[in-house]
Amino acid sequence: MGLDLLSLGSQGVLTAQRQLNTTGHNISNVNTEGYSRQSVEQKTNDVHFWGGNNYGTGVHAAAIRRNYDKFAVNELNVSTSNLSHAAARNEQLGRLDDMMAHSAKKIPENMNEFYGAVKGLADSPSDMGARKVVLEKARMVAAGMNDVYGVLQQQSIDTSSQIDATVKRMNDIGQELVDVHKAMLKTPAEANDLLDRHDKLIRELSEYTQVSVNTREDGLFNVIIGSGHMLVSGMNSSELTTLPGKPDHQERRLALVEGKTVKAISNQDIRGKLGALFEYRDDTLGQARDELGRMAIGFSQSLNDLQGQGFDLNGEVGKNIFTDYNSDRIASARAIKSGDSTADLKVYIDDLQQLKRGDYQLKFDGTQYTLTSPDGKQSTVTPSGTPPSFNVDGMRVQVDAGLAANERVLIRPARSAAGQMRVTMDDPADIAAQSYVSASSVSNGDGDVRILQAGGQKEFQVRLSPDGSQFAVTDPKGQVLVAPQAYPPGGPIDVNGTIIEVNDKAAPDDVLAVSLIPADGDNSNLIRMQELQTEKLMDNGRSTVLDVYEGLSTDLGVQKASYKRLQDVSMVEHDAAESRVAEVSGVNLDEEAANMMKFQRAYMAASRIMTAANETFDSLLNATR
Amino acid sequence: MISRIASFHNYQSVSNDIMRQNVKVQDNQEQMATGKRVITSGDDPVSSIYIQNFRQQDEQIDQFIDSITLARNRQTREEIAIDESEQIMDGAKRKVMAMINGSLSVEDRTAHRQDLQGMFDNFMDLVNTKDESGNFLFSGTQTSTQPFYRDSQGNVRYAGDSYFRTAQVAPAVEVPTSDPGDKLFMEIDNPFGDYQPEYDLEDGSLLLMAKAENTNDADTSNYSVSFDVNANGDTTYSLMQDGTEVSAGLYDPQNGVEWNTLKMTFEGEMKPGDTINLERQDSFNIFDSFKKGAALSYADIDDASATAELHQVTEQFAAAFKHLNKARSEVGTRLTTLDRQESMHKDFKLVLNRSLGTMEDLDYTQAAIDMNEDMLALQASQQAFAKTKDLSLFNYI
Repeated sequence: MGLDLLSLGSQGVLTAQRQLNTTGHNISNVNTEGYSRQSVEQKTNDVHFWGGNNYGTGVHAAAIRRNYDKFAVNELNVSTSNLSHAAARNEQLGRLDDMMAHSAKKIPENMNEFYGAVKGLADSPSDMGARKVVLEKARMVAAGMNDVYGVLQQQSIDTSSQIDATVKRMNDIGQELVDVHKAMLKTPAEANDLLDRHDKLIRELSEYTQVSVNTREDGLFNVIIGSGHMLVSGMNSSELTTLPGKPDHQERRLALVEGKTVKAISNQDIRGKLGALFEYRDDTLGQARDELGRMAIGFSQSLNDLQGQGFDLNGEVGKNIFTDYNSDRIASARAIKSGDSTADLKVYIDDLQQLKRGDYQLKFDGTQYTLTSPDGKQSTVTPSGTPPSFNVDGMRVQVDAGLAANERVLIRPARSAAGQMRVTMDDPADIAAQSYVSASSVSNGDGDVRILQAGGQKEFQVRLSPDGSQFAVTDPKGQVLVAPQAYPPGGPIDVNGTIIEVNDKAAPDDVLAVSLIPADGDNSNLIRMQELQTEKLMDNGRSTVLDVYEGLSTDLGVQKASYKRLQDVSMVEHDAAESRVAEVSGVNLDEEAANMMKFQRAYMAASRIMTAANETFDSLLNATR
Repeated sequence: MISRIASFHNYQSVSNDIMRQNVKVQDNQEQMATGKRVITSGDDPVSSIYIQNFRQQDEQIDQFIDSITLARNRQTREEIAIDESEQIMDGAKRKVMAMINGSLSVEDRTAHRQDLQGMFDNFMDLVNTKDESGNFLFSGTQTSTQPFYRDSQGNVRYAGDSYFRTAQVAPAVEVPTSDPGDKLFMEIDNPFGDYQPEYDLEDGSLLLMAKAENTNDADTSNYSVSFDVNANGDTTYSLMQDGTEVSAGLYDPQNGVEWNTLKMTFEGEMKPGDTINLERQDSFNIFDSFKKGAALSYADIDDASATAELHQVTEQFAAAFKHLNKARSEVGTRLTTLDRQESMHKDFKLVLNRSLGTMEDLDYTQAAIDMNEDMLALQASQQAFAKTKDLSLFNYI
């Protein structure tokens, strides 16, 4: 008995010691991230049966338990992934939003200043100083466009390298997880601290992507990312990598190396920070660049077009002010194809009104071309004519050399336009201030005359009948040159060698006076240029060029605001999940202090039992002396 | 069950809360510092689209106001030039009328002629006025070409064109800012209708043509009418078309002479043998009037034809005066349009700024209250943390 009492006491002491140890471990790790509180599970020893009775034989520490709630942790992982996605999107869009409100705002400001300069020049069209100002403002518009495009381009590149860095970290995590798994196999009992490390790694991984973890039969785990791609399976980890995009090799795609094969992963469903990076690069930055590009094209094309319909100070037909967006070089750069492609496409922009943003995908299955619009609509197209071409959304796609079977080509009408914008005019005298259609016109409608070919007839007037159903061409004195015919005309009209085209927007009784005699004091073309400021050139007549900027800035603002709200919501969810996990797994110092005192007492009491046993043993010895 | 508070998490969530509160206070401060409620589109996307639209309109209005200022400058300059030429017309008319005065000697006429010549030179100078940047005011859109010049015969020719410049002063309002010189000085409606009379009068005749009109624009023949007295002492007329007599009869002073679409009226006393030749001319130019006035001043004071033609010249100067007056009032109308447009723009700008203010500007009272609230909350959580941070069971063991 006495001997039993001693061992009972010593076991009590040992158990209390373990408790104190664990409490100490808890207190020491109070600030360790990812640490789960541990507690010692005490059990009574097996009973001693003696004389028909069961005698208790003391206590022992059965196990060190890790306080852990699998569901709370899963929830925390999911909410971490959501939060980091929303936070990353909010941060990216916030950056763009800020740029649109501050540095990029100089684009519309420059455009307005350009129009202001044109207004100034309209007052004295032959003034070289005023002409220089107009050209200088045009340069500022182009420079502003190029700057912002450059920033967006740089962000796209930065995002790509951020993606690479993130992928590298994710691979490291995968490797670390495998190491943890290996260590776990070597540990015979519950590897509490290893499990903490495992969870911490999973937590970090879920910042980058959506993660789910399954327990395997051997006690190890499968770690699945995105919509079902195995990153770690027990002792093996796959490697994530990025592949050059197809057909745009700059848009690197995510891929998973499984053994010797490389499998591309859809960027969708990745979620987390990595998903946000892809969304930013492919959607947001693409949208911003497309919209700026549309502005650049709308602004340049409409001004270049007017230049071609008038005379400059030297009495010559006006030259382009800006880059010609329908030059062959730019037209063929709009079609993005793989490096080894033999296809030769040129994409010309014929109608600004219909120009949309986004990517068009052209696919050839060997017999038939299929075009997928940015909104996902598919249609079959057949290039026809010589050279073969087809029209879509204001673009004329000329197929000089067809696609190979099963080849895909991306068509991006406006993506790089803001970066390509340059002022190609260097002599201010080249600004065409005089329009062919002079200010002497009486116009209630939007009638316009285009000169297709200048000929012998230098001055004439297109006159509409009082009911607007007919028109005639006369000379300035009223002598009829082209007899009355139905309006609108069916095609080009020959006025004594000068070939003209009349649009269908003239109102009854309008007189469109055309003069092909250069006049250095005429400002009619400058007036028409000013009108571009408020003319709804884009989006089927719904937006001015400047409206496109406002639309973009507002759209980014809306996205930013909604991701901000989403971030707030995710933050609340994340905080709640975190406190649930903390409730179970976190260390409370007061509790540990209480435990410490408790186990100290237990230790002292148990050691007192040992003393008692010793004294009992002593008195027994003394009794036999 | 009493939930446990994890110490580490507790500190972290307190620090998170304080940080969030800090961000709010900083946002408040930024708003207060800029005075703007909406700084980027993300702050309030709905207001932002309006704000951007308002700003754009505001900018456009400013540009229109600038255009108006420039246009007004042009118009005022033109108005002055027209006003001055009006004065010259008036003076020239007086001079020519003075020449008609029969009591004048030849020397007097010479003096008047010299005056008239001087006025002509002034006038030539005026119509070739340049603006501040050296562009001719009245050459239409050929602003670097001198519009009026005298050829070897002393005739004035126009080298400009018939077009003009405009300024856009509102989205749908264009105002002309110049007038071509030919319209102003060379295409003045003929005060005698459609014909220019050329007199061949007997001495002492006081016959003058009042008006000769022909409603048939296609009729370009020359006419001449001569008067005579028949046996009864009644005045008769004979109308010749291109040298052939087409009509003759008694002259009725009430109705004048009428034939087909041609209608002529006369005034003054005629003498038998008076002939007036009519040349089709719908409009005349001032320069010819000057030239003619000067040429006629060489004629003898008693030359009835010359006197009649001097009368004609005074009529032309009077018509030119009226014509220029009309042109000046047109310029005046344009100036009024500019003023009206400008005040409309300014009114609109005011309204715009008011709306912009409601959309964009910060309500300082509200912002100050918000800021105080947020600061109070921040302070409270800081103090609460400071108070509770020392609470620990470890202090007691």
